[in-house]
Amino acid sequence: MDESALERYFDESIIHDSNFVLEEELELQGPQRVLSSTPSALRPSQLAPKSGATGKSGDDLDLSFLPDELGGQNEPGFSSTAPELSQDSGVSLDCSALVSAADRPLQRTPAAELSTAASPFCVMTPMTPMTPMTPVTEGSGIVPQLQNIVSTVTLGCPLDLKFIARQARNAEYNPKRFAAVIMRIREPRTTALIFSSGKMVCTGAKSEEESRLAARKYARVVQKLGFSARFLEFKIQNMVASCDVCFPIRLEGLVLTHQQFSSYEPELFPGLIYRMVKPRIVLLIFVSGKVVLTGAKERAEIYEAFENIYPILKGFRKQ
Amino acid sequence: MIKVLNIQAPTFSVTDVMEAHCQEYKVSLGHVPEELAEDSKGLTKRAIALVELAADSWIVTGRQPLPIMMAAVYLAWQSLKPNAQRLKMSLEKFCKLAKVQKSKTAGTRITEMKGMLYKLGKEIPWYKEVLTPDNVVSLVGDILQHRFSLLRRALKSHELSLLEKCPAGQVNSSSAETSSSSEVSEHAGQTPAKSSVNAEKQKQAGVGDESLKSPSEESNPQTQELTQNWGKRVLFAPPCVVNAKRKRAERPPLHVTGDEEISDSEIESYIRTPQEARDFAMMQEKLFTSNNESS
Repeated sequence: MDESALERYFDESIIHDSNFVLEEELELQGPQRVLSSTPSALRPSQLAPKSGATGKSGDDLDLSFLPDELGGQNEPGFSSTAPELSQDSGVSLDCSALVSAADRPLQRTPAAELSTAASPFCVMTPMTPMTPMTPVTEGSGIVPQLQNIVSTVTLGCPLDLKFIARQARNAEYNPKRFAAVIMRIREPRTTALIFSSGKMVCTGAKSEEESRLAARKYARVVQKLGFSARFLEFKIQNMVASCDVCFPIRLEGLVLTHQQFSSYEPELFPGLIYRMVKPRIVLLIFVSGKVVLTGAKERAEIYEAFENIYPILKGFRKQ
Repeated sequence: MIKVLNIQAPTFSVTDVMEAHCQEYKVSLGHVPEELAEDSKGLTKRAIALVELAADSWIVTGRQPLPIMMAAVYLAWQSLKPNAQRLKMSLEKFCKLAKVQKSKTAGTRITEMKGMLYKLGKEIPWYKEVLTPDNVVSLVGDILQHRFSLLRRALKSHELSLLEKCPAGQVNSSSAETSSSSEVSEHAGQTPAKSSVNAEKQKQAGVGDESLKSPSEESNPQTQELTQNWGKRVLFAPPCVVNAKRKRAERPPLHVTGDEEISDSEIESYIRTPQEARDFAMMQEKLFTSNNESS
């Protein structure tokens, strides 16, 4: 008895997680047309919550962790969510993959419960055996390495750059050339531009945490020099990464098929400049197969951009 | 900008510009002695064929087009009548003769093209003498005429040489090889139009490269050094890969959380001692005054 209750608890939490994941995907993909499958899904889902609720309450499960909306979502929200859900089979397949990953030995009522609880998000008929689905595309197996992070921070007080240049060992200041102090620290090896307004730019770190630590060290140096510096509004402005796909790429072919995104001018620059729209990342693609990605504010954008471009580049290799 | 002006920048290939470029070279009968003269049409045709071959072997992608065109015209001119006089004439002299300004990188392109022609020329069965990249120019005509079959043979022999080096399971390679050779024979049968030649040859080269890589990649999946220079294992690879420069030593990755404690001693190491600061100020003054005096 306890075991089945435990299983149901786990399934509930899995669905809970998949809800969040799927909601995000739904927002991205936008509402789609209603397919004919939804009316059939409607009825069982409307019946199921009641049976599900009785089943749940009968087992004395602690459902306080479940959000209140889960039960309510099935009825009023359903008609609006259904159009959004009758979408890419990819989403419903993902859901079924998540659900089947729970390793269900019993398929009858739990399956019905699961499918109905999940039905706002998956267009499935209940009582269908859920076979695990392999992901549609495999990952590339290559991880872009971060090469440079640019971040800014506000120190919150005006600074005397001449004083800083006199007192700090690692600073250079040439007001005729540039209106900021250039300061460097050894660990993490970075460079900072410190302006008289109290704003600072930190470059050269290889990870977000390194950049933050370096910025804090610079702020400390300025503090020790006697200014009332604080560490406000730390923000990563740009991330640059690079990787190698290990096969040559026909740039002339790529520019023909992806004209609206690519710009390839061998007279000016040997690489192809690919401006990806989503996520908004610029990729420099070279004939050697090396790819540079830049313009990201988050690490995930870089990974996403590379996963987007890899199948395109692979397609070019086979041709 | 393109969107604002609502135009579309035309993408062109080197072959389109070749004809106009070849016209610049003043090597027709009127301008130079008969032995060195060459008909512009024949010259253009051969130069275009050379550029197409170069494009397939990754010499063209990513490079400035002018040196490639110059190298192609030079080699075409040499190969159309490969007598001693022409072969001895260097690129510089040729450019002076043709009243064209020489470009520095054309020399590198010539070397690369000769290397590519040498790889193909090696497969010519009726050439009994020793072939080097230098005397391959005399064979260019034959190479261009039989380029498809020569390419096929070169790929085959390259694969055989790879097999000798690493005799791991090569079932995949043989199937890939037959597929590539069937494609090659299919294309060799057709009378190619100019653009289709490009596409076909690209396909062949692409497939050939891939079939070559799969056996070597399979047999050495883990060794990082080999994957780092996959260019050395393939018959034709972009020169930047084959001559890969050594990477500078990478920094070991720091594992930081960003919120660590920052030791005072570290920060103090970045700040001058009062004595140091005074010395520095004095030195600056001295420099400043001496500068003023001298200027």
